[in-house]
Formats: sequence, C-alpha cells, structure tokens
Amino acid sequence: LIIKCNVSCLKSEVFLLSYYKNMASSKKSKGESTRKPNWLELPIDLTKNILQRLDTLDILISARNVCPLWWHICKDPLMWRTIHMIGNFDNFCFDFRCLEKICRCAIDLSCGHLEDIAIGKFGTDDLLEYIAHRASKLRRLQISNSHGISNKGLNQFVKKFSLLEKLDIAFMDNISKDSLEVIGRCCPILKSLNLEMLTLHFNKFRKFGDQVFAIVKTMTGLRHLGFSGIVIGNDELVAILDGCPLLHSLDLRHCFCHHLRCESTLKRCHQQIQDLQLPCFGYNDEYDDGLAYVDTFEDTYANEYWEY
Amino acid sequence: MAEEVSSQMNSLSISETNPSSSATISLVSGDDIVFKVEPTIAKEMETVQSFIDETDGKITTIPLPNISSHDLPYVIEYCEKSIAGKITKEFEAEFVKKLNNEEVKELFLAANYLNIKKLLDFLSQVIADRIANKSVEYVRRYFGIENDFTPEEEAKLREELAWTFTGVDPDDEDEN
Repeated sequence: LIIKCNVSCLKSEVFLLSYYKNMASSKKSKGESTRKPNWLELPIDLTKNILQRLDTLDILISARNVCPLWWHICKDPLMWRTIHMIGNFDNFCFDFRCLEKICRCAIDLSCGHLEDIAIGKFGTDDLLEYIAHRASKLRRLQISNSHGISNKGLNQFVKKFSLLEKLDIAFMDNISKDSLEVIGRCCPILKSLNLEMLTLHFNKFRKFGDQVFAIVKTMTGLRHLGFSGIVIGNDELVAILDGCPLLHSLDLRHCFCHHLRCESTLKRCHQQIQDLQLPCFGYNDEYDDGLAYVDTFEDTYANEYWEY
Repeated sequence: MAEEVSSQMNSLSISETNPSSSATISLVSGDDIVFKVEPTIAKEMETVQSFIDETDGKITTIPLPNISSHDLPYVIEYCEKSIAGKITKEFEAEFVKKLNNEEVKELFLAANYLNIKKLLDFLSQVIADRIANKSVEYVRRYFGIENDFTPEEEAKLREELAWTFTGVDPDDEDEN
C-alpha cells in the first residue's frame, strides 16, 4: 500500500512565509547557512509523511512519545491504516504476548480505518478475531509464520474481511482446502494470493493439489497468484489457467515442478500470463522431470537457487 | 557550473530576456551563486516552474533565497536523474551515502520549498530510515525537539505505556 500524503498548500505557504522571514533575518551572516528550522513548525502533513514511513513499533515506542504535537499526530486514525509488525524484533525484548498487545494497541488507534496489516510469529487466533471485529475495511492481510493461527482461526475470521484484495500467508502447517474455499467464497474481490509453505528441507515440499483446486474453484477473480514450497504439476497448472482467466501474474519460482514438460501447457502459460515466473529448481530423485526442465529452460533461476 | 554574481541580490532578482524555450534558467542560491539549468530541470521544481509560467517565460533568473549553494547541486542532480528516468535504488543509495543528517534535513526543506514531490518523498523515507529503531531521546536530538510534555502528561504517558507493555523488562520500560 502506498502511503499518500497530500501536502496542504495553504499550510505550506504559511510555513514558508515564516521560514522566509527567518531566513531574511539571518541573511546577514552570508555564506554558510546555519539555519536551524523548528521542526515543530513544519506543516503537519510533512511530519506525517515521515512518521507514516516508520514501523508500527517505532511509532508506538518512540516517535509518538517525542512531544505532545507528535503524540497528537500519531493519534490520527489515518496514521494507522497500515500496521506492519513483521521482521526482526531482536532489538526489543518483547515476548510474543507483548507484541500481540502492542499490535492490539495499534489496531485500537486505527479506529476501524485499518486497511493493511502484517503480523508475524506472535499472531494468534485471538488476535485474528480482534482484527476481524475492528477492521471491516481491511484490504490486505499478511500472516507470516504465526504459530498461534490455526486453520480453524483462518476459517472463522478471514471470511469477515469481505473487502480483502490481497492475502499473503506463510505457514509452517498446511493450509486446508476448506479454509481456502471459505476464504475464496467470503472474499469475493480478492485479487492477489501468495501462499508460502515454510519448509526446512527440500524433500519436505508439500503436495498441494487439493488446495490448488479449491483456489481455482472459488477465487476466479485472481490477478496474481504465488506459491512457494509446494509441489506443482501439470494438472494444477492447467487448472489455474482454466480457473483464473484474469490472472496476469503467476509466481512459482520456489515450487517443485512435477511433470511440467507438457509443451502445450507451458505454451499456454506464456500466452496467458504476462508476468510468469516458473519453478527455478526441480527435485532430483523423485521429480527428475523438474530438474531436466530447469536445465533446459531456466538456467539463470537455477543459479539464483544455488546461491540461495 | 556556478559563477559569482556581481550585483546585489535585490537588483538581480528579475532580469528580462527574450522568451525562448531553449533558454537556460538561472537559479540563484541564497548565498548568491548562480546555477544555470535546462528548462526541463526547472519543470521538476514546481515552485520555480510556476514562477516562470506566471511571467510567461520572460523571467529566467529565479532567486531561491532559502536554498544554499551547498544544497542546490544535490537538488539539481536528483532532478537530472529524475528526468532521465534513472532514479534507481542504487543511485538513491549512493546519493544518501554522501549526506549527513544535517544535509538530509536541509535538502528535505529545500525539496519542500521547491515543491519537488519525488525528492520530498524520497527524503521522507531517508529521514524515517535514520530514526528507525532509535530511542525517543535520539529522535528528539535528531530533530532538535524539546521534550515539552507536562509532568501530568508524562505521567499519563507512562501509564499508557505500562499498560501496553506489561510483560516487558522493567529496565526497558524505564528507558522508554
């Protein structure tokens, strides 16, 4: 989501006027400019433009406690349309329970204006429920390796987000076919879906056929689809091409390809999908078709994989 | 690129020339250094362009009293890259490397004054990056902002933070 900041012309002019005056009075000392602008006199929109770019944690813990003006700025629900709490929290000595509390605090501040939220490991079904009741305008949801979120939770609460357009889920456990079907039916304007199955070993890539079929059955309006960490074969690919006619971006880079040699399917892929990223590596023993394909087709990607 | 202007700021402010589309624009910094730039560069600077437009292109020397000759070349460099469509991550990373905290802030104000949206957004991000993961005290120092919470407000703040962060080490909480 792009953070937009409309610089208010009027305010800017007023500011510039006073700024200009300051300059004029300090103009006597020519040459090196030693101006020290008072940042609290900046138009609020300019300050917002900076603060909005900070992580949720940075705003909550540091920026809003700088001074009363900034506290006030950070109280604006529109500052909380985006809540991103993914990544490295090692700098902070917060446990999961605490991060969840901070996240709830940010959700409260959004006063229903939340549009984009990303939650990390600390996520739980309870938190998802909390969001479900307070973010009816949610358009983007990212769940990254949240140990406390179950299929049941997804089933129950993601369906509340009827305006959801973009869903990214990275999971350690498998996502059930049922969850995906429910999401597909309850989020009719979903345009982008990324599913990443987190695996520690390459030979643990998951079969995902049922889920793929559930997706193409219920999410026919998808523009972008991305999978990672799953095994994908010709049948799945054909199903995707048939089921999602609007799809123009398909990312299968980190999948295992399985019997992907069918020329006609590949041809269709290239014709139908503008932004196509085919699997960049195969599985030598069980799925040797894949590797053969890599050798002949996507050498560059294969190199990337080895570095990775 | 830069040349000293002999006359005083006041007298040089407006010099009339033939309106011609290919004429270069002279930007005069606050410390009276003239920078000649292509009209396309001026287009990137909304403040400058609207000044030119208002006078039907007759005026091609524009005083920029708020911008020093130290900052203006950076602004021009960014605008040149922008026109050429060469604002890449690499360029921005290099560009930022050259700037210390004071310069970033000054350029931010310059971008605001000249109304260059792209540069302003970019510098907003740079400033945000530089105060990310930093303590309240650091952010205050960075912007030269006094802590002017009243004791009552401060107490309330502490209360709210305590509620938010129960479960955190007490030591950390004190720091915040």
